[in-house]
Amino acid sequence: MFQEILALLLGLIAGTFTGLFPGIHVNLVAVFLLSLTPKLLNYTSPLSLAIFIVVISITHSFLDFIPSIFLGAPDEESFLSILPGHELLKEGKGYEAVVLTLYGSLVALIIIIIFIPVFIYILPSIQDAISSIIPFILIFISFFLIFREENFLSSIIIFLLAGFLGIITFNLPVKEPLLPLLTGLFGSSALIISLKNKSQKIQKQIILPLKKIKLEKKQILKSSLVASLTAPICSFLPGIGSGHAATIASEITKQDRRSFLFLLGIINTIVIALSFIAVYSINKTRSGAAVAVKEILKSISSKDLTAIIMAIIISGILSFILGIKMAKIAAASINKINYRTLSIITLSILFIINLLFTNLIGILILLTATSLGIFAILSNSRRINLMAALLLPAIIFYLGN
Amino acid sequence: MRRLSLIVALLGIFSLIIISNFAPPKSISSQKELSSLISNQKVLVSGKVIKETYSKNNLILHLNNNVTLLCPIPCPSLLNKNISAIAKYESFNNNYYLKILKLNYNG
Repeated sequence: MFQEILALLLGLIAGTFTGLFPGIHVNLVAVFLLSLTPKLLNYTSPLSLAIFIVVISITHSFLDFIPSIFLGAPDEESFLSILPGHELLKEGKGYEAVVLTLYGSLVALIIIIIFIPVFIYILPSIQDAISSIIPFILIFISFFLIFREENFLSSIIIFLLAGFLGIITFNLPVKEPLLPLLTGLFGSSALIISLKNKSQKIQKQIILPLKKIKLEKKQILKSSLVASLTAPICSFLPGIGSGHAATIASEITKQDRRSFLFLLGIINTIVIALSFIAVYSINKTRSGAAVAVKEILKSISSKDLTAIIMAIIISGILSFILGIKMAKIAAASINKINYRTLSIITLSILFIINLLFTNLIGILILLTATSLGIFAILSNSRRINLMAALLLPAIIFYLGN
Repeated sequence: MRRLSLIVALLGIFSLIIISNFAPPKSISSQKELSSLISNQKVLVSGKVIKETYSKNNLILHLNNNVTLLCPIPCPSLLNKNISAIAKYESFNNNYYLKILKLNYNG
């Protein structure tokens, strides 16, 4: 028991680091840990190691919106938060933006508890049927995204170029293809555009008490319901993730900036948490962290599953408190720094991280994706069209299988 | 800047297509060398087929140098033949395999 509690605390610390540091994905830590597993098992139990990975993942899912919103430095799960988050940051509401995602992640814990029995008892019998309709849902979403744009021509050019870039990227010898692709499309492009703008001073951030940061009940229910429909599906199907779930969800119900951030928080945490339950129920791994848990535990007993669920809930609650503290620190410090200098430093960090974790082809992907992201912003096209970089490869993947 | 960004994006995509299609494959001769590969990397493999097994949509070729290749069906029987193949190192659910893109063989 002591080992498991220690694993939970260490997981919180490690997850805080991976969540706050741009570009460090929890999967990297999981792979690293997996390589050390034979040595680590001399000192600890497989369950403690598995709990450590689960807790890192959950903590990461709560905290990774902080660098996305305050720095415009995204990762695979939080990249869609940049645009609404950045807009709120410029209005002095960066803290509120992070809190809304944290509220979402907290609500996700309740949805996860509801979905655990569904995943255990119903999912094994319906997963094939759901897999077969996914490409058609994605095709429908693609057409829907293009045809609802006012600037139809720019929209279709951006959609096709992003889709094409995604397809090529996933067929190139690059270690972490999503890193340069998403950093370029959603992160560095926005940073370069903000560098170009004359007003570089981020105004003082307002730190409201939590009880004053509210969403309407109707909006909470709507976002929770739509996230409950999309996120669980994305947590067990290969090829689609939080970004797809958020795109589908935001097209099903109209979202404003605040409710979209809340929705992203829900989806982000549901997708990662239920991916661990999917290992138990259908023996499928949907994330690097879930692969690591499966490799370490070999077979997951019901006792292991109970411990994992407890770890998800406890670390979720603690991560919420941690997230509030970290967001306060970030909000209090951001306006003391010259935003231009901060943007240049962030861009440099993103470039170095891409160089370290990919290769020269990765840098070319980063450059291409950044240019395409800038083109989308300057064309006044909705940046959700850039999601074609993930939608088109997923459609091809499903139609081919 | 809008036009420039579009031109750079198009040039980038064009360059990536060229890299994807014309980058020379890395030659490998043993199973051990697979660990140095990255996903989607093209490799050149040669050897004698010593065993064939079937999976869902592929014929699995086991070579005498312990390298295993996936040959998408329809694939001719290549048992006891010397083959040379350009293959792609692919992954699915964290399982890695070499999928044949181009195959040459003699009797």
